Amino acid sequence: MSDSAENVFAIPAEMQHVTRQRADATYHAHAHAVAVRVDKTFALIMVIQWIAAAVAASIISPRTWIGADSSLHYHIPAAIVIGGCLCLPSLLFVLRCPGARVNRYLISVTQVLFSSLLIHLTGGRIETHFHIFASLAFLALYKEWQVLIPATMVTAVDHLVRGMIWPESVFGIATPSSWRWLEHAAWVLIEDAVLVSACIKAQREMQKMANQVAHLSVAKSLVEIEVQKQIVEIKRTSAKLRASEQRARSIIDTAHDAFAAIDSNGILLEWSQRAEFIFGWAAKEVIGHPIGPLLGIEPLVTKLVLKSAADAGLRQQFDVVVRHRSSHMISTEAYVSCTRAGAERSTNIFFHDVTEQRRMQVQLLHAEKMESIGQLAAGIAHEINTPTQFVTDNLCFVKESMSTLESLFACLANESLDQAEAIPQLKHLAETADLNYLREEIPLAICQALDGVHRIAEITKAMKEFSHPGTDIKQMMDLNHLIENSITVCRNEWKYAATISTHFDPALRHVPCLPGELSQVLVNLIVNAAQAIGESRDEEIPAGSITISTRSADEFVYIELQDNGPGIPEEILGRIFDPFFTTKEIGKGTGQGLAIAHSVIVDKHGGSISVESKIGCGTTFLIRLPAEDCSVQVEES
Amino acid sequence: MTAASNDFEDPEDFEQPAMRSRNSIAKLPTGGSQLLMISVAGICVIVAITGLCLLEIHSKTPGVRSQQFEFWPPGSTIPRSGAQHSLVMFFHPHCPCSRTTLTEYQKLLPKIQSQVRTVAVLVVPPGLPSDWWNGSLSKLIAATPNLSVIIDTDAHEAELFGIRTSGHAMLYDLHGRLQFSGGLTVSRGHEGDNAGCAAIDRFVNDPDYARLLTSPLETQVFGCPATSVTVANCSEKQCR
Repeated sequence: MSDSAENVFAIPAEMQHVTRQRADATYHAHAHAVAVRVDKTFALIMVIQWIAAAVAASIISPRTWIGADSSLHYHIPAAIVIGGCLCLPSLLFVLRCPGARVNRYLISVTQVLFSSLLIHLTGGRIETHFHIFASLAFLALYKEWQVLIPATMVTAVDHLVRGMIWPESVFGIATPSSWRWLEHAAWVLIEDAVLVSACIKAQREMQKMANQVAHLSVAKSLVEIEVQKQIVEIKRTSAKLRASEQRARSIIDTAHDAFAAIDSNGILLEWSQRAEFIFGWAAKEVIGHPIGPLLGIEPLVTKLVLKSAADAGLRQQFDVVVRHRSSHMISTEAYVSCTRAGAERSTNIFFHDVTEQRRMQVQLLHAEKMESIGQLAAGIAHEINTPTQFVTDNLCFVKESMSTLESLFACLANESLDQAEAIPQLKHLAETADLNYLREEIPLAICQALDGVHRIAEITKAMKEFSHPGTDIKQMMDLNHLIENSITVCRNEWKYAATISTHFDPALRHVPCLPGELSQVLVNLIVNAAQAIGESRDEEIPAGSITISTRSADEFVYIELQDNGPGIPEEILGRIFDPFFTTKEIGKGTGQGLAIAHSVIVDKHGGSISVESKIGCGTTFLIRLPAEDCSVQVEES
Repeated sequence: MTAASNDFEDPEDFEQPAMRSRNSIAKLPTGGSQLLMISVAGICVIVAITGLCLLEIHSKTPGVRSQQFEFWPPGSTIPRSGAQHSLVMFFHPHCPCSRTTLTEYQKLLPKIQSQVRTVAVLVVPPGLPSDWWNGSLSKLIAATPNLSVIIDTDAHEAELFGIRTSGHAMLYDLHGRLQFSGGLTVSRGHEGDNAGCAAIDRFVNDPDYARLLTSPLETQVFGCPATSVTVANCSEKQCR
């Protein structure tokens, strides 16, 4: 451990006193542990010394003699009794309260007394005197210099008393030299000085260590508190996440739309309960399998979906027809978004089942068409009636002319008349029948009748095409022809309000489209324009005009329908494509016309329809259709 | 925040482990138990100190000695050299205390061996078998260099020299005059500098001191009684 530890883990100022208290406690705890350990060591040493004293006495002085008589040497009971009296108090205190402060002082005293006993039992051998020095060194293991004091004091008192009573027992001679006691004391004091220094140093080391341990301990506690806070926060966040996940799962499972998540390879990761219901596959059956083959989605489409989601990142919508487990097809609107979690990326897809909606839309479109046809029926009848009328009149004229010419023809056929009789009669009949007039009018009447018949045929053909229910398969169509048909079909709706002029691009590319539905859109736009012009028509205002033009540009074909009607107010311009939005009187409009137009152009053809309008100047609709076929239409949400 | 984490919220709570740690340090039991322990310890220490004092007192109690003659006993069979001083040491063959006398003699020997001839006399009390003297001490004596051994059967020589206590040493000069009489130990069975060895050393190696010496030097003798006769002539306390 180094001082740098205190620098690394800075303790706040308000925690410094806690650190000091911990350091103090750690120091005392360590000192106590040392004391306990040394106490036990000395307890063992005491027992060993006791045994050693008894053994030494038995070996060195087994018996004492008086001439031929011998008896047990007094050293043996002395070793047992005195040794026991020195040993037992230390044992008692160490066993009852190891580490107590009194133990070390008691041991300090008894250990030095043990030295006296052993020195005595071994006959004062100089080597046994080393026991005192060894004892002092052992006492220094307590790392407490105060412990050395009792031992030194006992040694000093022993020398003092014996020196005073039996000086020769201490110094060898009854009148020792003045320096001899100093020599004896010096050795003990020198060792004491060394040991006291070592003890003080050891205490400082212990204090330093305790400070560092306390510092680390407080730092550890602070870290633990922080970790606890983080764990609680993480648990709280985890609980929120779990709840959120459960809510999300619940929402996903109970949502009307099917949910699936796939990885970047199209492998299914998630499969909601609704997906199980809609597509007929259980989650455990599909998780880990590629979505394309499972739902019958073309690989190209899957790739496009993944790429678009990855590139855009935002939610995107696709019309996708997928296959149910039982092989029937389901029309869906797929809402795709991309989720990134680190390096992992998943694509989330909500499949909105629009099969029924599509069917209803077809029905609605057809109904709308039928409604249009119904609304157009009177006009068309009128359109047919007018040529029928003059065809009839002309045919009646031809019929009457033929009856007039019948007498002329009969005169010419009478073979009994001679030339002289016949010529005047023929002249008379010719004058009567106004033959010159008939010669001019009859061919003209026949031509007009033929024109009328042709016109009827044209209207009928347009109606036939318009009212055809159509198919879901797009056909390559000439838009110019489609527009002409539409103009024809609704002619009676516009002819009283406006004139229609067309500016067709003769080189217009054929485009893939659903002709029936596109015709419906064109009729809706023409009728709307005509009605708008008609409603605002004033005697002072010249007749309205509707201009329809087509052109090609890039990969698209454009149809522009412009009128000079009153225009659409700006505040409702953004709502005109909303379903059921209408400005017409109740019963005159359903509000579905432009909504269907938008749906047909955008959803079914992948095109776009836009409107520009200026009050008093007119309105222009611009339809853009892709020239290339695309089975999937993309619209950025 | 959980309850566990709240335990550490208050800085004062940090003090609890510290206080627990301090409180965990052992202290003496309180009340009667403490008094009993202190009493037992005190009694034991007092007994031990008393015992040590008794040991010290006993070890400092010298053996008895009888009157010594001024000159070498005429009836002694112990050979005396006319060219060297004669040091005669009497030992009880089994006295454990007398080992110390041998030890001190061995320390003294290098200083005097050229001028002193030493004889160790193993005193065998009357009525004992002739091999009674053979023991650990006699082996030590036999192993000591420059030391002649004489077996004093029936304590005859001890009587002539007036010896009562084992470890008694007597130094005679070239003329057979007694110059020193006493023990070579500081106390009973205790090694260390002593007055006996110092006196012999000084007499042998300091001619001026020897010339000025008018009466034999004497020191106390510490050891077991060499003969049973001593028992009758001394108190029990003195002999043990």
